[in-house]
Amino acid sequence: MNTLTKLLIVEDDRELVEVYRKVFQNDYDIYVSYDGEEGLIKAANVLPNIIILDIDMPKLNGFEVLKAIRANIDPDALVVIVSNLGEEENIKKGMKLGADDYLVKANYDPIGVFKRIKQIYSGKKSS
Amino acid sequence: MDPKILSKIMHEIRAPLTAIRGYISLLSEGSFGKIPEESKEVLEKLHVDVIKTIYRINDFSALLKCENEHEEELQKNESVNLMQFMNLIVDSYKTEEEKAVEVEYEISGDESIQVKVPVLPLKFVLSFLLKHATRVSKKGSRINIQILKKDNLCQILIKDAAPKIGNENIKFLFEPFSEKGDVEGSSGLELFNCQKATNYLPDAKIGVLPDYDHGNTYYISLPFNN
Repeated sequence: MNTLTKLLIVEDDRELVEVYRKVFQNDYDIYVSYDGEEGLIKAANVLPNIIILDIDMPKLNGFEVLKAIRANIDPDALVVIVSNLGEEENIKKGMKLGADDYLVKANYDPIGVFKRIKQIYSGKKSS
Repeated sequence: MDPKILSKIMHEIRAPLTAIRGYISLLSEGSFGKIPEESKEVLEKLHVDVIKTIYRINDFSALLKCENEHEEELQKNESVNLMQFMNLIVDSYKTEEEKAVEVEYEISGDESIQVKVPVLPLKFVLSFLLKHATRVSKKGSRINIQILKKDNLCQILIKDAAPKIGNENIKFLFEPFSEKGDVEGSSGLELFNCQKATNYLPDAKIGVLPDYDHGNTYYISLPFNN
């Protein structure tokens, strides 16, 4: 039986997904969606413990996905937005919609993203 | 060119760099197998260059965004408590750049100073002074921020932990991509951005204090108009 924590990556940059996959593969059971709509469907089917969510994506953007996840799928899953949209209004919007953290993609090394997620998730589990 | 198109171009240039940066880190960590020491050095140089390029794109995008703000937004005065304002800037910067969690910030000075200023340009200037100080300082070092009242001026001093810049080069620091003012870690644009935005702050001055033993202290002074 697979006991690894389920991690869903919702990200349209396929190269970056491959980097994340490599970084996270030993510690997590990884699921991937390349657009917002598919991400939402996969979130409902898989019920991941952790979601890495991009914002600027085809079909549904990350804000819409997050809103739907929080309202209809899982209010408690750890959702970390990792986006290149670094403006304050976007960060505030993401946090207001229920993200657990918001990292500006270009400024965070994927290994840094991995460390941050591990840290937040262990904090969330123990609280 | 339409700023929206320029912004889109910036985004498209930046996006692949994120993956490239990730691959370089993975290679360096040995995720694709052991690599020789000489290759590690090359990868480290590539990593530094990629980060510098990302910083340049980000800083240029920020400048474009600031310059395309409506004039009334840039001139909108608000009363600001400088200590609280600086704390907010530091806090939000910590989520913005990975480097910001690798240094310490110490903010001290007069907690009562309140100024009425165009808040958007002030935020821009302080954010970029902070970015510059952080990027040029080594991991684990401390950046000191002081808020002072001096005669009829308030001063915000930000002291980095970078090697001292020779007094002869200070005048080049605010030029974009200046070779003489080049400091390791800097995008070459932070201080240029600061100077551009200072133009929107009436009677404000920005500069570098020349005579400290180590580190470099940047300041912005504003008329005290409480």
